[in-house]
Amino acid sequence: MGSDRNIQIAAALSVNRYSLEQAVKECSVKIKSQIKTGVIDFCLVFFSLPKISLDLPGEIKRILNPASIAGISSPYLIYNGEILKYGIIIIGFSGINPVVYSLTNIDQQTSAEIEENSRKALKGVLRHKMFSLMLFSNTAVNNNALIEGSQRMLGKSFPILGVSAARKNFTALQPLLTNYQIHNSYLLKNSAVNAIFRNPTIDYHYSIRHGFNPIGKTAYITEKEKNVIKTINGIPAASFYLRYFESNDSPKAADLREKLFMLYPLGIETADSQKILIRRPIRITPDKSLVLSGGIPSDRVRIMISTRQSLISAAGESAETAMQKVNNPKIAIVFDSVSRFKILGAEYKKELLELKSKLGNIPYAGILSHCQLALLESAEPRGSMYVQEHNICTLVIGEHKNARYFFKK
Amino acid sequence: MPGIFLRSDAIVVLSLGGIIFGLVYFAYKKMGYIEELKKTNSSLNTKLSELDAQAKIIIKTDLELNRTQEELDKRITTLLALQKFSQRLAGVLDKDTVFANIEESLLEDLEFSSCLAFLKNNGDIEVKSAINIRQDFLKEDFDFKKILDILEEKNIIVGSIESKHLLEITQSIESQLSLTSFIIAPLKINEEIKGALVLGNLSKDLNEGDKEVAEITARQISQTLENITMFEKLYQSQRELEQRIMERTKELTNALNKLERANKLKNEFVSAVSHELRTPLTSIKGYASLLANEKFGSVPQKVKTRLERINLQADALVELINNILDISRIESGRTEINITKNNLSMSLKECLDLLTPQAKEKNINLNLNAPPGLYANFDKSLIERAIVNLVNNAIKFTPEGKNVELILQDFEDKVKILIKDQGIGIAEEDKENIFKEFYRTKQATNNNIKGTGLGLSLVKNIVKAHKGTIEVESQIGQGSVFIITLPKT
Ligand SMILES: Nc1ncnc2c1ncn2[C@@H]1O[C@H](COP(=O)(O)OP(=O)(O)OP(=O)(O)O)[C@@H](O)[C@H]1O
Ligand SMILES: [Mg+2]
Repeated sequence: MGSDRNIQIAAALSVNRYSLEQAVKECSVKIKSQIKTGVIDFCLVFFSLPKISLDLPGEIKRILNPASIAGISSPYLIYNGEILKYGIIIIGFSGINPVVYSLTNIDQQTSAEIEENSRKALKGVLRHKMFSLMLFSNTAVNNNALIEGSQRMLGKSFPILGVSAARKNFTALQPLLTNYQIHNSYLLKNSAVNAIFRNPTIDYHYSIRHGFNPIGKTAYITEKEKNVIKTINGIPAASFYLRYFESNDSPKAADLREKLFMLYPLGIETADSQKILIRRPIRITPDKSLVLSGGIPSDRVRIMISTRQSLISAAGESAETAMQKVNNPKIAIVFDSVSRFKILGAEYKKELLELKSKLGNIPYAGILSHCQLALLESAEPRGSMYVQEHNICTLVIGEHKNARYFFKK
Repeated sequence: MPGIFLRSDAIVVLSLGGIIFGLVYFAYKKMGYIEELKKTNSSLNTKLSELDAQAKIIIKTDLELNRTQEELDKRITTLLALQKFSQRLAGVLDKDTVFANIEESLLEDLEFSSCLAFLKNNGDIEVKSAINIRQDFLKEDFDFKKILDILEEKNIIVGSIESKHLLEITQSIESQLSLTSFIIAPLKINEEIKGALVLGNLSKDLNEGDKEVAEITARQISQTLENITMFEKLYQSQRELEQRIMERTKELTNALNKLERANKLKNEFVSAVSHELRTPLTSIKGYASLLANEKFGSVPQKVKTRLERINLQADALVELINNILDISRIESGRTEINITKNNLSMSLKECLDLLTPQAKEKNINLNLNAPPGLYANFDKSLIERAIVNLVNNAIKFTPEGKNVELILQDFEDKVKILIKDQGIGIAEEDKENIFKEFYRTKQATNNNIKGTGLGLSLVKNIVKAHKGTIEVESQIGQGSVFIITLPKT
C-alpha cells in the first residue's frame, strides 16, 4: 500500500494550449523530477482549456500512470502567485492514495439517491477516513441533496471540503458555463468527484474565511422555503434588501443588482450564531423573494460589506491558520472565489502575495470557484457543514509527525 | 349595628379601597414601568434605525468608492492592454498579422465581447477579424458600405439599441451581428477611411471611456496599417530598383563577357593570321631580293625599281604583322617581360639617336632633357620600343622646323617620361580612342600622314605591362604631350 512510503507531493503547470499531450508531458517531467520514486498514486487536476478534450484524463493516465485521478475545470486557475485563464495544473501525490468515486446527474438526484449511489460507489464503509475533497459541477449549487446525501453516507461531522467551479461571466444573463470533472479515465459533466483521503501519514488542516462584516441591524426572516427567502421583517425580501441601496428602475437595474448582490451579499447566522454565512442572492422572483444559492440555516439575516483590505486579510488568515496546524507542510490547495477576485479588481495580486507570504515556500494551486463547501471551524466538537460563497479556503497537506512510525511494518 | 355595619362597611370599604388603591397603585406603578420600558424600547429602536440609516450611508459611500476603484482598475487594465497591443503591433509588417493580434483576451481586457474589423479592397469588403460575431449573418447582405458612409460624416459611431437616430444601422447591427451596444471607429490610411473597427458588447452600457478605448485601438491599427502601406511602397520601389540594377549588371556582364570573348578570339585570330601571313611574306621578300639581285638573270631597271618597292612594302607588312603580334602577345600576357634595373636616361638617349636622322629630314629639333644616370626597373627593349613609337609619332605629326622634346622626370617612387611636340594636336574626343588598335584621327588621315594606328596600342600595352600609365594632353594645332608614368620598383 502507498502508506508504506514517504509522502511526496509535486505540482506542475503547463500553459501549452495547442497540444494536450505536450501539456501533460510538460507537467509529467516536472512532477517526476520531484517525486524521486517515480510512482504516482494520485493526481489532482485543475484545468482550463480553450477547447475541451475528452482525451485529457486518458493522457494523464497514460503519461503519469497514477492509480486514481480527480479533477475539475474552471475558467480561472491559481498557480503560485498567478491567476491563469488557460492551463493544466497537475498535482501528483506519492504515498497518498485516496479513494475516489463519482456521482453523475447530480442536479436531479434526491439526497436519498445520493446516499445510495455513494454507498454503491464506495462498496461498503471505509475504516480509515480523514477528510474528502469534493469537486462538483455548479449544476448542483442549488441542490442541497448532494451535501445531505454525502453527509448521511460519510457522517455528519466528516469534513468534506468541496468546490464548484466559477462561472465565466458573473452576470445572470449568461448561461452557466459547462463545467467538467475528471474521475480516473473519464471526463464528466454535471457530476461530483469525491476523493476521500485516508492515509494516517497525512497531516492536514484547512481554513475558510470571507472577510465580510455585517452592517445595519439584524433582520429576521419571516417566511422562507428551502433556499428562497420570501419575507424579511414581514416585508418582501427583495424590497427589504433593496431599501439599502435606493435602487431605482433604470435600465441598468439588472446589472446594478448583480453588482449589489456581489458587493453586499446577505449574511445568515449559523444555527449556533457562531458564524455568519455569506449568501449571494441569485435572483429576485416576481413576488420579490430572494433566491439564494445555499440553504438557510437560521432566521437571522444581515447585510454584509467588505473592503479590499478586509478580503486580502481574510485570505492571509485562511492560509496562516491552515499552515500553523500542519506538520511538515508540502502543498496548499486554494479555493478562492470569483466574486472575491472581481471585488479585488486590480488588487487581486496583493491577495496572491499575501497568500505567498503566509505559505512560505510550499507550492500552491487551485481554482477560482463559484461556491465552497466546508465544515466550519467551531468550538464545538462537531461543526456543521455549509455551502458557502465569497470565501477563500486554504487546505494545507503535510506529513504527520509520527509518519515514520507508520512506515515500519 | 350600623356602626358595626358601618365599621364592617368601613372595613369592607377600607379594605376594598386598600385593594383598589393597591391595585391602582400597583397598576400605576406597572404602567410607569411599561412606559419606561416603552421609552427604552423606542429609544433602542431609534438607535437601531439610526444604525440602519448609517448603514445606508456607508453602503452608498462604499458603492461610490467601489465604482471609482473599478473605473481606475479598468483604466489600468485597458492601458496595459493597449500598451501590450501596440507593442505587439510594433514589428508587424503585413496586414493580416495586425488583425490576428486582436485576440479575445485583448477584447476582454478592453471590456468588449465582440469585434468585427473590415477593410475596403478594390471596391470589395474584406472581413479581417470577427470575434464572437455570428459569421453566418455576415454572409448575408450586411451593409458594410453604409457604415463607412456614416463614418465619413460622423467619424465615430456609438450605438446601442436605444439610440434612435442611428436606427437603421443599429437594427442591422443588432439583428445581424447580435450586438446590443457597439462602437464603430474608422480605420484610416493617410486620412482616408479604408475600413472600420466595430467593438461590441452583449449587455454593457457604453461610456466615454469605452469610446476613447475604441478610438485609440482603431488609431493604433490605422497607424500600423499606414506604416505597412508605406513600407510596402518603399519595399516595392526598392525591389524595382534592385531589379533594374540586377538587369543592368547582367547586361553589362554579358557585354563584358562578349567583349572578352571577342577580344580573345581577335587575339587568337590575329596571331594565327599573322603567322600565316609572315611565312609567305618572307618568301615574297626573298624572291623579290633574289630577282632584284639578278640571281635569275638580268632584270630591266623599271622592274628593279618595282621589285625594290615590293621589298619595301613587304618590310612594312612584316613590321605591321610584328606589331600586331606584339600587341596581342603583350595583351594576352604571352610575352615574357623581363624587368631589370636599367639606366633610363641612357635608354632615352639611344632612342633619340635612333630617330635623329628622321628628325633631321623634317628639320625638326630633337631635344632630350633628362637627369643623367637615372636608373629604374623596366624591360629595356619594350620601353625603348614604346619611346621610339612615341617620338616617331611626335616627329610624324609635327610640321617641319618645329621642336620635339623628350623629358625625363624623377620622383620618389616613380619616373615620368614626357614626349612633347608642336604638332597637329589631338581633339578631346579622340584622346581615349587613339590607344585603340587601328584608330587614327581625322587630322592624321586628312593630312595624309601614313600609319596603321597600331603604335599607340602597342605603347599602351607595354606601359600597362609595367603597371604604369599613359596620358595625353593636347590642343588641336598647338601640339601634344604624351606622359608615361612608371613605378620605380
Ligand atoms: N604626336 C601626335 N600628334 C598628333 N596626333 C597623334 C600623335 N600621336 C598619335 N596621334 C594620333 O593617334 C593616331 C594613332 O597613333 P598610332 O601611333 O597608334 O598610329 P600611327 O602613328 O597612325 O600608325 P603606326 O604608329 O601604326 O605607324 C595617329 O594616327 C594620330 O591620328
Ligand atoms: Mg605611330
